[in-house]
Amino acid sequence: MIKHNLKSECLELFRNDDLIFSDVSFDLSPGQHLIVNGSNGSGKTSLLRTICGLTVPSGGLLYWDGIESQTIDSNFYSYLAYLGHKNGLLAELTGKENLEYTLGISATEKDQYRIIEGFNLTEFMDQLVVKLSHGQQRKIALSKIVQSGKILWILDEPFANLDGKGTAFLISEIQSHLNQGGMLISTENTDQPIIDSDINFNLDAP
Amino acid sequence: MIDVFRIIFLRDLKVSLRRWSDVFISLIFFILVCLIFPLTAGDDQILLLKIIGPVMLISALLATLLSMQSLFKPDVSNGSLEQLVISSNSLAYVVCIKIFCFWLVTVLPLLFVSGFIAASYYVDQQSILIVILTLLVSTPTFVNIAALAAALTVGVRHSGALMALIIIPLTLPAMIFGSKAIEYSILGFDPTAPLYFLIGMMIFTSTLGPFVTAAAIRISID
Repeated sequence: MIKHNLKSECLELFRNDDLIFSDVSFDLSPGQHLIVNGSNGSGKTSLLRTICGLTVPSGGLLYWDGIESQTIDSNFYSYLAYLGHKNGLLAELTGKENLEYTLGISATEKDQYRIIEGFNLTEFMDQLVVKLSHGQQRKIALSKIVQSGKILWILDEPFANLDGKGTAFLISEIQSHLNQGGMLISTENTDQPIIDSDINFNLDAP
Repeated sequence: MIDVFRIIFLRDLKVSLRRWSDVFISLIFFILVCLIFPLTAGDDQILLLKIIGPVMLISALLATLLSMQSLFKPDVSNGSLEQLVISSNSLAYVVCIKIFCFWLVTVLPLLFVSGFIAASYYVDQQSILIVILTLLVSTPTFVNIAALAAALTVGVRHSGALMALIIIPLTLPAMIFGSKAIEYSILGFDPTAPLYFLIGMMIFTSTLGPFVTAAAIRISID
């Protein structure tokens, strides 16, 4: 098995001449969890979007397996699952259809059933997403990430809106993902991290 | 590749059928705008035969414009478009499928009614076929150019007027040749030359368009 690796070198981002973040360097290996800390507006979401390639950085480079992640040679996107503030669910479709029409789900049917059951979603999957609560929508979006079978998960405040049972299930899924050699980058704005991290990056630090 | 087509196509088809009122509104809009002219201009056969080409094409363009805002905007606001951008498939290919599905759901019904509308303009049977054929080869051009405008203005709050400003100059060549094709056919000339031009425009915009649109989406969601 190839040992995957995500490496960032001095990433920086300017928005209208304002510095959002600078000098972000890290080296993430399989099984590691990177937490991005910071107060509201400190640029956590921007950093995550930059790593995904949704925002073009003003400077610095990002390497996946030693190849620059935004070049055509890189297969970065085959390994990436990202969930931002928006859930990426289509309101006109049911939860089940949303999962069915998602590109790149590789979990087996048994696993899918277990994950849906774990998030306590089974009875809501046949309802239109627009009729579900925020928490339930978030759970469907998270279940898509868990089912994706991708190596690198990038989650923006994954525990927001989740109830106790959902949080516990997500923690156990993240732990088993990390134990199987997965990687995780997440943000949290609480001082008490819910999951232990291997690398901690604080954007508030001067 | 085929799997991607199946997923995106079925997804868009299902969503647009559940948002059927959008599709329906653009169809009604097309019919109404086309029928205003024979109703208001009176029974002047020569005048109606003269204006049918431009009227048909302008109505089709405006109907496309009307429903085009729903191609990317909902996907941007619910975040599903950024999921497509970071998927391992080519964004241009995904855009291509989305445009094809849009054309099928929104524009194809216009072609079915355009024959009946043409009859109210006193167009003869032979020329009705040319009217439909002209719309068939010019609407893909409209849709591809409108998709580019929609992708560029996706972050703008009231994008309708801005989209019109982008689309109308770019679609002008297709409009001119489309009107000529219909006019030639009605006057009894051979309309193949303008039709060939329209087919050329169609191939040009539908092969190059999705790449430009994909790039515009990347800029817009940044």
